Amino acid sequence: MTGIGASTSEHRTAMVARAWLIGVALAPPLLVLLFGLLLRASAGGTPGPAAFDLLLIALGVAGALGAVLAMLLSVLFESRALAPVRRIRLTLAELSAGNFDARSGLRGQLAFERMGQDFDALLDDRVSGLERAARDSEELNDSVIEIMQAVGEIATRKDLTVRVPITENVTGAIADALNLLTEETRRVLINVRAVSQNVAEATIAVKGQSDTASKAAAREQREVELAARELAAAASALDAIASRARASNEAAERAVGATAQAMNTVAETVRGVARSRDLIRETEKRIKRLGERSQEIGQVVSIIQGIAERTGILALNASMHAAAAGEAGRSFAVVADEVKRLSESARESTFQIGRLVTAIQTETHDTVIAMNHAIAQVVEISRLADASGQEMRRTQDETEALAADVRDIARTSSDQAKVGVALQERARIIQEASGETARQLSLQANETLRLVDSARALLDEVSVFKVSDS
Amino acid sequence: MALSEARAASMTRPSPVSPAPSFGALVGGVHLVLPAGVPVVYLTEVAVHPLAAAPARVIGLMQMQGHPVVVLDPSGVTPGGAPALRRHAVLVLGAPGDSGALRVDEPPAPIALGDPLPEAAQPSCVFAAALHDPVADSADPARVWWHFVPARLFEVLASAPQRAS
Repeated sequence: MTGIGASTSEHRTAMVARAWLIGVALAPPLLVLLFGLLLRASAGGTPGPAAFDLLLIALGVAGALGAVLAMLLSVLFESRALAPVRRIRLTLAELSAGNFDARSGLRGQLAFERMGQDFDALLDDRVSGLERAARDSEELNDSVIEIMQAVGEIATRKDLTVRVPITENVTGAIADALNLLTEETRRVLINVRAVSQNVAEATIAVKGQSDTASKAAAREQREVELAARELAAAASALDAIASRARASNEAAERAVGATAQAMNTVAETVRGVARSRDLIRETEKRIKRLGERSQEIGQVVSIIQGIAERTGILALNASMHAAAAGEAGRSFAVVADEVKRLSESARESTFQIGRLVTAIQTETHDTVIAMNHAIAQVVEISRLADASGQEMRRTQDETEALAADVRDIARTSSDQAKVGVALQERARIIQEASGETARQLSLQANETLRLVDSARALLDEVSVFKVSDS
Repeated sequence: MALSEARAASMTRPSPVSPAPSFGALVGGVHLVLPAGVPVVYLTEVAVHPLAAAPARVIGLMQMQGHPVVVLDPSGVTPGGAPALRRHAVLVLGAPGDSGALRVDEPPAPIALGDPLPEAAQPSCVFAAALHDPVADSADPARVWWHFVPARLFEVLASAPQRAS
């Protein structure tokens, strides 16, 4: 605050104090006067008694006297109470102008005088503190300058082996912290350099692996395409197998039905053969009986033949007797001749009968032999038919088992065809994934190249720093 | 020919009226003409009972109408004095009680005699002495029929020597 400013403010304060005192002195009589005027107005403006007017005049006079008194009191207050304040304000103005030696110099026991004394003591203490602060600030500036020089050397030379001198003041901790930071930075940079080297090497390795993976992905994609085509062919083949298995199943079912029908036919054949065998045996018995009858006929024929022979002999003897009798035996010779012809006819007939019987016997014998042979054949046929039935039963069992297997094959083939279709879908998905993998690997290769460049750049950047004396 | 036809033919055939035929028989390998006027009976399967110590050509005895008849074998093939009973076809010559029997090789049959053959060679048989008047066979010129007398033949045979073994 300048002196003019302070004086103006002080004058304004004094004027305000005076106005206030005057106001305080004039306010009561003016209020009484105003009240009386209001009452008079409320009474209709008619002239009131004179006492009341006198009262109003008295109150006006009293108010004027009060105002004069108040002005006197304000002058007195200004001369006694505001002088120390003005002195303090002047001191403050000098301090503000840079005169740290300015003091109020107040003495006494009044409140403003004791306040001035305290103010002077405070100024003494603050001035000495400011001098110490100036000295400390200078030392701090020196330390900061050293630190800034060291940091500048570090920043300029990229030499992390440089150390900041450590002082006793507050910058000592900062220098120590900077040294610790530098040391840690150096150690971290060493590690970063090693890590960068490792990252570069690893990135190159990753790049190689990425290339290898890209090639493998490309090969995998080709293999997946081949596998997809082969799976499609396998699915088609499985479909064909399933179709053929279904056809085989139907054929096997037909074979089972045909075998069952053939078994029924064979069984009917076996029964027919058995009936034929029985019939042939019965026929054989009848033919044997016929043979026996023919033998009996032969015996009868033999008897008749013997009779014919004897008749012939009788006729012969009669003829010879007739011949011996000469003319007398001529008529007897005729009878003998008739008997002879009769015996010859009988003999011839019996001979023919005998031949027929012999032929019948021979034929019967041959027929019996043929019958026996036929029976043997029928027995063999029956046995073969039984064997055929058993073979057909086994064939039916085998065919049914075959049909069951074929059904299983058909069902499995159908399932495998469905699995093949699912595998085709999965192969397609794998193919897409493989293509996506190849694309991602290609992008990864590009990113790896960038990473290699970044690792090399990082290594170059880190190599700028000197982290050791060597 | 069926039996019925044969029988019908035999029954309806007319009986021929012809002179009494001659009968011949093969006896001991010689064709003999059966003598006319001598009762002759041909028998088959005749039971011949052997006779012990009988002559060589006597093979035994047979029975005919209650009479024993001596059976002789002109061929000499039947062993004499055989102990067992045998059956033979024989030709009985002579009346019952005065007859003899000959074992024949073939049954007698009617024959057709031809011209006599006085120059025919005598057969070489043991009973050749009982044969005479050879006659040709009209049906078979090579065959020669010999006449004989039954008693003479029996005599010759009965006296015939022992057959050479």
